[in-house]
Amino acid sequence: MNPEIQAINERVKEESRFVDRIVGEISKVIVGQRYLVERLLIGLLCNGHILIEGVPGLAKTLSVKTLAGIIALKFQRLQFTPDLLPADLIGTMIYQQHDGKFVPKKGPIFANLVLADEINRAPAKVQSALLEAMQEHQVTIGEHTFPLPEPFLVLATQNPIEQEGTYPLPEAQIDRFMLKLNITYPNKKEERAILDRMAGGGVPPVEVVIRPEDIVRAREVAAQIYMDDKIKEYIIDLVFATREPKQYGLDDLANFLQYGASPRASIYLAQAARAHAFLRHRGYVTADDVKSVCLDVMRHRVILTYEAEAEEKTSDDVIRRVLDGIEAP
Amino acid sequence: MPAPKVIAMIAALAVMCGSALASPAASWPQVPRKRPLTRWLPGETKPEPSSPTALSSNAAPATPSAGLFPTLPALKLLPTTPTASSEPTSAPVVAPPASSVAPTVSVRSRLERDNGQFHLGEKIRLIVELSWVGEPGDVLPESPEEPALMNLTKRGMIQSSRMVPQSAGHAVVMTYLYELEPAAEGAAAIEPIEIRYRLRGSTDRLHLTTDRHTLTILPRRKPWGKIIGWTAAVLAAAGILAAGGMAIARRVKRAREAARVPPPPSPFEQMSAELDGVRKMFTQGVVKDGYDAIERFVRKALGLFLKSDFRHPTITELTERLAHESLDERLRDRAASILDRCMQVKFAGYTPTVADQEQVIADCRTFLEAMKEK
Repeated sequence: MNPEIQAINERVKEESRFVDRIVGEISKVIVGQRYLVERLLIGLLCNGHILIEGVPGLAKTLSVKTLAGIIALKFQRLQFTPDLLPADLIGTMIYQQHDGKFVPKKGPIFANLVLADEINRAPAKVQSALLEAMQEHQVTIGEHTFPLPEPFLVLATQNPIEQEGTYPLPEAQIDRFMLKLNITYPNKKEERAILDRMAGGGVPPVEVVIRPEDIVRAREVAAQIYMDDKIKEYIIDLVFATREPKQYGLDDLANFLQYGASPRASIYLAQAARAHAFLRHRGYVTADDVKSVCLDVMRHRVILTYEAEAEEKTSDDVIRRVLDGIEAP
Repeated sequence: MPAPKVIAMIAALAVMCGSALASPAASWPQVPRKRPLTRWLPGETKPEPSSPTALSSNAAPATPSAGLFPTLPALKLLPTTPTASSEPTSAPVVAPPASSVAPTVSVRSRLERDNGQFHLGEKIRLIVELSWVGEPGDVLPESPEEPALMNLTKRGMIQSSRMVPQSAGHAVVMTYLYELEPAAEGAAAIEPIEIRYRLRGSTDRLHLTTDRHTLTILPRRKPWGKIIGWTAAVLAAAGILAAGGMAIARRVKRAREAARVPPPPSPFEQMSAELDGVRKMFTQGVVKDGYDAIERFVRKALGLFLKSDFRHPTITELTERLAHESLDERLRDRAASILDRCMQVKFAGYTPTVADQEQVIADCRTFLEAMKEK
């Protein structure tokens, strides 16, 4: 192996030890949902935000809260409602009577892990304030600008049912989320384990496994993970296939795709693939890493046509077809 | 009920009906019929209604040559003397009317076939017709006596009557149909038959005698139809048997040929051959492609042994699927380990040493043996 890659490989193995400990600790509380836990870690390692879609009761909040407890991160949960104001999120200036001055009062967004529950129930201005904070990693209150703590990860949830009275996120804002996860029901075996575990009532306590600074260091290592040119070409091919499917022999998708994935998709796909390799204790990215995260990175970045809707094709179907159609290196 | 009895009953009923109709017929209103109730026997010629020679009425009796049998030759008036004739169809024998109003009664007999030649086994039909012009009750015939037969056997007799419309009145025809059968080859004869009758209002018994018929009985016909039928059936059966035999022979031949073709190699043999190919690649110094071939080898081996498609899933997906296939954990780990090494070569620029190459080949061999045992 190339000495540099060998060195990275060794360092990744060293720095990624906490992953198994985190997974082990989370599994004390959460049954199954390894997929969710791994994606949360990918978000943390890549400094990317996550949009979670799933019906209520799938332990989304519990997972995030448990993860925050394990990493000793400050966790805040925000329930988005139609009457929520930006100030309720980012904070406001408060008048102090004793000295007659306005002082900034930081909002709940000043946390490491922010769970924005049912983000599509708040009006556009609140969504916009949150997304701006996500992008800039800083918040301006009055005349003062405050940086957000590191790591800073927003996990927004959307309920796929009950769409009445909601404010769907615009495509441009959805694009700012690195990953969009579809959480599904646990299987029968997992459901039984949930039943047994929750019979005693209460959530088992978890231990702090790592500190936030370990996460920051792991980010640096993950960013150095070696990516072969073949993998880079593969990523480009996957993204371009969503824009020009005919060029890749995917003629059947031409009528289904209105807009393909943005360059942000290529960036995030590469980052997420590196983070996935980190979780697998590898210092290099394989095609498997790209395939593993491709759906989560791309599913909210392709816009389908009405024909696709009429044919009941989802973005997942289209991306799976792209993955089948593009030969992996 | 046996057929002769039925025939006898029908004949008796016909006679009764004829008798019943005979007496009141004079008082019945004469309703003109649009369609005459006429039944023509085989060989008879239908009279032309407009023919001037057709029978007209009882009062004006028709001449023997013109009336019911216009095609027949002129009648001979032989009231009591039987007439021997070799002709198959004889001229009617006519009895003169008893009085000026009495009907003229005639009898005629003929064979169904004109030439008088019959084959042994064939049925011979003798038709005897007693006819007169007038009403059915004008003449009261008695049952004819049994015919005297030479070299023939009587099988039965059917009696029937019919009325033939004339321009004025009716002609009544009593028919006696004798069914005979030749007894042996050679000459045969039907002796004259005496038919007795009475006229209405008279107690005198009159009689008429039919002609004598001579016949020649030929040997039995050869049953060509049956012969041809049997021959065709035998030929068809032979053809079917031959076709079946050929089909079986063809199948046996194919089976033998198939037996000669070696069976496809088992998954183990197939994959062993592929592994040997990879080893050869390593020996030739084609290392990177060799590791690609190793990856394909593992995926294909899993696919062949577990009868599923493992070409595309990622290593993580593959491991999960193998867990679902109840594959032993050590085997799963071994497969994942081999694939990981392939990934190192493919994506991390790792150049495997000769020892690495030998090790991966050995691991593949162990994996294959374990899969075979599973």
